[in-house]
Amino acid sequence: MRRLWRSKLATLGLIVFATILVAGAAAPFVISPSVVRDVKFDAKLTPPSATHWFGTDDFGRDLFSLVLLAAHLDLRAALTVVLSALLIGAALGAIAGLVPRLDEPLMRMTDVFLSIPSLVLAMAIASVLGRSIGNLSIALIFVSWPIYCRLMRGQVLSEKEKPYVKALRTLGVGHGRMIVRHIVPNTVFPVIARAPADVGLVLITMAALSYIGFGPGPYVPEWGSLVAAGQTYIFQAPWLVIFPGVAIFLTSLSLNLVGDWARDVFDPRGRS
Amino acid sequence: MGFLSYVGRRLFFLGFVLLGVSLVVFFVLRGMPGVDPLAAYIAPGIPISQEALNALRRELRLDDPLPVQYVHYVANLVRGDWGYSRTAAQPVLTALLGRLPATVELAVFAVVLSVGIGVPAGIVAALRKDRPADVAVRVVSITGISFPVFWLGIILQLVFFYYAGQLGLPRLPSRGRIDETLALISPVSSVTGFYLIDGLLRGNPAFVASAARHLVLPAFALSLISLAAIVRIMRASMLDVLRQDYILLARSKGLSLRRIVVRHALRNAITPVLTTAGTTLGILLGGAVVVETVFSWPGMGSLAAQGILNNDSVLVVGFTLFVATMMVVVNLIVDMLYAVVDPRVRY
Repeated sequence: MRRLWRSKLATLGLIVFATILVAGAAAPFVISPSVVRDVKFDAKLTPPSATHWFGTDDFGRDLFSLVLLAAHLDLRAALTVVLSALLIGAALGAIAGLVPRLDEPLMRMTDVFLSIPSLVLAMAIASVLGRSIGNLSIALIFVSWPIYCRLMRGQVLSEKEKPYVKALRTLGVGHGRMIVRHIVPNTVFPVIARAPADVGLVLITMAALSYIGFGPGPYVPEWGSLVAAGQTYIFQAPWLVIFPGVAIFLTSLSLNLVGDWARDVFDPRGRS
Repeated sequence: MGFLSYVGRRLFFLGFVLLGVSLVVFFVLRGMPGVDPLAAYIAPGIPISQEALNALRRELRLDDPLPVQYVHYVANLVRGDWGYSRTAAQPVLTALLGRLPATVELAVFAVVLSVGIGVPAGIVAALRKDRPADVAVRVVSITGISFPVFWLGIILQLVFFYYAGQLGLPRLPSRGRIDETLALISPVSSVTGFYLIDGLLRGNPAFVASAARHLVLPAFALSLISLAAIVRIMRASMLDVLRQDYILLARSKGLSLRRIVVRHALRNAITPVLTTAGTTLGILLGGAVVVETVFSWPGMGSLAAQGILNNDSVLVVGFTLFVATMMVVVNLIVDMLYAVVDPRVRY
């Protein structure tokens, strides 16, 4: 019953995320970039209508277009961050699991990183690097890799001890071939299973950081900055806050639904 | 192994982690490729003489090799010299400590809320495993972690402050820690810096009531960050305990389910929740940056957020170091609480 429910929810999540992803990917090709600079003060703060689905902002710009353009930026950045963190973390984790000499230093390094709340560390890094989406992404990669490193190391360590590895070794399978062909393919899925929920988390963290001031400014649409810009008019034009927020919420909810299911399927420890 | 040697080992580990944290923070401040470390110390747009720059370079020992700089940096940290914040117009450590009670009050309230909601919800989900109530708890908790907290905070202000006021309903305050008029008419001098406690100590019920009302919305918004984790852990841990033999024994003795859960299972199942509550406190301190900004809460987080807008990296990095230190210490305390709650824990 529970599994069925979950897979239904996961399917729903997948459909919603795929829709947002396609919309975000297509946005810059469908929507003219001039929308961003198309300031019309006589049309400012108009409520949602047939012509402007999400209403217009304080510059008189069409909010629907801005939210879609922001989807492109936010999704691309969040996916880049998680993919990079996954690759770096999994590679270092595999090294830690395979090379005993490097295990201890790498693990102590992840201890330190994991002892600082990721939003706070990302904040420090981004603040030193300077405010931009690129620097924000670098900061988020910095704080996101250790968890993958831990996961991968654990997987590799337990995989290494399995009988088939010893069997293959006695059959004369070389070290490199063993790692590339057998250990990594068998260990990587539970690590990847964490990624969908992580994309959701990174997305929310990124939006939060750009809300508090790391945002790219009014001429580059980004979800968190759109919320921040709309907050000034919250009682007058609540749609300016509501729609970008709903976009973040739906994206992250859909990713969490998929992630919950993925963790259940790929992580043997999570099974009940 | 005795408790004391366990504490000793943990303190050693704590020292090690703090050293690691200071290394990371030092690297962030001075070692970033392509970033001039001096930039963090000077206000952008304000002309500064070459002599002053040189003096600053000497003071920060920027011409020394990095390891020497690091030793110097850590020595300063230990002495309490965390640098000067342009944003607060105060030394960093003074500014952070001054705003610590506001943040702690908010974070503790949020932890209390998320444990208060999360523990019963987790128990219900475990007892009704795979039934609609369990599914409902799951869906609600996944929805909870999917909310961008800053956005939720603004929506709460919209509903409970603005719309409630429009409809003539009692509204909840949307910004600050206290009703400012009240604070002028009947001020409460600071003892601990925690408004609830100070109000009680000075016997000022109106002050306490106002402080409590101001806490509701931001603490609720913040609690959502940890709520899902607490529910999940409580549910898993309760399921685990309910499978144990002594529960079966209690059942076969004919004890009521309520008594079994409250007297036997909960005490054993709560330990992992304690750890989670401890670790989430750190995450909540991070979340506080965002929530404090939304609710104009005068804590460390909103100060750090202002620091970002001012390019005041000395403050922002100091805040990171402060939060990391707090988190490490809190985790140590939580681990020690284990022994009190669960006597089975051996060191």
